[in-house]
Amino acid sequence: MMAGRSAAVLHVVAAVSAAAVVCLVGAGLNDYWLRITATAANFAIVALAWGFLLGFAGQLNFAPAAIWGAGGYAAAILMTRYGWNPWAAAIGAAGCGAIIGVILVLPAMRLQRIYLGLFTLGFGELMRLTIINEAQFTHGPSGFGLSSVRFGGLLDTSYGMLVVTVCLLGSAYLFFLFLLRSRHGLYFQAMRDDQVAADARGVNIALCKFWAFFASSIVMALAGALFAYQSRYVSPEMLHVEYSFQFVVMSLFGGVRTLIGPIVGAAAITFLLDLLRAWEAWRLVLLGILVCANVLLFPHGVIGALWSYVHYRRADSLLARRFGQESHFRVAAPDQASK
Amino acid sequence: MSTSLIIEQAINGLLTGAIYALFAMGLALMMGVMDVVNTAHGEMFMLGAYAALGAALGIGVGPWIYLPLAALTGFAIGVAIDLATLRPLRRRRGVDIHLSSMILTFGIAMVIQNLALQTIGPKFYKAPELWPGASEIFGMIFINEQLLAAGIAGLTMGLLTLGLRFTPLGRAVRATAQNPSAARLVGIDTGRIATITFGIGAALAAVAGALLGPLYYVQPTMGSAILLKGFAVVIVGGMGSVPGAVVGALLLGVAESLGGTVLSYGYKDAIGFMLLGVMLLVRPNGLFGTPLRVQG
Repeated sequence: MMAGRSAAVLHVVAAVSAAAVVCLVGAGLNDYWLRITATAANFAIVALAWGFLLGFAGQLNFAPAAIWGAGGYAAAILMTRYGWNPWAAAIGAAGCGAIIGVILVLPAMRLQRIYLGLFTLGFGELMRLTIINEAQFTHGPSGFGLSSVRFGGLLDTSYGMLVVTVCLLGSAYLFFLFLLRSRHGLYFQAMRDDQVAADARGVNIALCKFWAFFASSIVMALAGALFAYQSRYVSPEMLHVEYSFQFVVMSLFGGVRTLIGPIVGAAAITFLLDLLRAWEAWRLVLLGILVCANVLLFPHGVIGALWSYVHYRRADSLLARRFGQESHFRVAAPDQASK
Repeated sequence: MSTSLIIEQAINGLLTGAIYALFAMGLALMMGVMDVVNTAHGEMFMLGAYAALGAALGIGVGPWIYLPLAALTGFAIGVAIDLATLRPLRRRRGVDIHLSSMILTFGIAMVIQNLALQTIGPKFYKAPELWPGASEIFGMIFINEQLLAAGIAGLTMGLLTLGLRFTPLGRAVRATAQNPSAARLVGIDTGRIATITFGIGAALAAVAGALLGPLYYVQPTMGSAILLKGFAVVIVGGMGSVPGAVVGALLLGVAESLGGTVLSYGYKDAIGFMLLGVMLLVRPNGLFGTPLRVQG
């Protein structure tokens, strides 16, 4: 996905025009669909950051919702208690995300893969319980509303919220894209593929883990702040494991070895669940079946499966043209399972 | 706080810990033998509770019938899930089995939990009490129901430990956990062992659910809280170590019970994760764990 300077320009143009198209189409949507689209974009930001962390840096973090929710709480508390304006509070939320990211680097230095995953799962739950119990700051289990805050400007309308969220999504996409195209992107992927070998070749593993957690946590926390502005409410439910798994599922559904996959996954699942509202719990049964199918049938996600099919067809037709249909030089069908 | 109160709370914690242990034992078996992180364990716990509740209220049978019935239900569901989903996953090469199985079983958990919500509804049920009242032992007061549940949990775990140690099947399970390829070399059908292990693990969760039925309320989302505690316990004990899981669970029970009294009650559910954090800093392999494999 990352080759050459022209490809980079292409990505920038594609991201900017996709964001512009969503904003233009948004002008014609009613309030309900504006909210749904903004929610999808918000979830896509978190799924993107999570997918980056697993797919490119190889770090398993099962607390995306805790970081997202903490960002929402940080912004909400800064606005209601200290009277910050929303934009400054969003920066405060990013700072909160940065702190959590730095804290998570410590276990990441000692633990790998599923051990790190289960640790972060517990860490997220600990954060949720802390927010429930420190009621003098957080108003306890029921959360609190932001009706006292003057938002003003873009943040006051559903359309403005959509524009801001989509802009953040586009910037996050380009940010991760350029991070991956830089020297650090290669370090990340070397660490993901084989940490010991990367270490032996001089990759600074500690620094890589630091940047990976730092960057992804900041992005998640920013998205959480925007979600709080959008729903005008924060509650400990935002930090719940269910939300974390939701982001994980969205990310894996699209496929984590691409940056576009998690965005597609988040949009697909958000809209699917909304369209099937009338089905109540049955839609979650359907989603559960989709999750199983994802792991068993297309483990690299929808986009991963699509990409490997396209590459397979292209290589296959090239070889067929060169050596004829009956040649031995046919590409083996892509093995979805192999890493 | 007086000493006798502390002792009383500690013993109460051990009683709760026994049920956690039953739950975590299944989780540890699955991790140790088949490297599966079972996110649907809480749902097996929930189904066990419903199976027992249905048998107790619907047919009116006693615990000596409904506990084995819950175990059988759990076993059947575990085997069915394994054959339908985990076996195809095991046969694939180059999969991160931990993560894949975790996401896969999360999908299964979603299906089971929402089916239960849709068919049974979010109503709270309470199973009939078996041994009402409380007893006084050395001046300390214990709830009879809890004593009974812990006793049965201990009995089940004892039987399972004996089974693992002394029966041919148990030896095959332990051999598969130690070294799957060596187990295959000496003629053990490791695929079959994995399926049976998953069934046994699910049965343990179901029995734990059935035992908690008369103590707490039975409802479709009852599995979520205990699942997270189960994960914490399994890591504290050392991933995949069955004795580690049991010791970790008893420790968690006592820590929760004492911590709930000493600290504020609201942080009671957080103690497991604090324990987890401390353990990972002091001894990342857990109590009984072997050193981590560097890369899978």
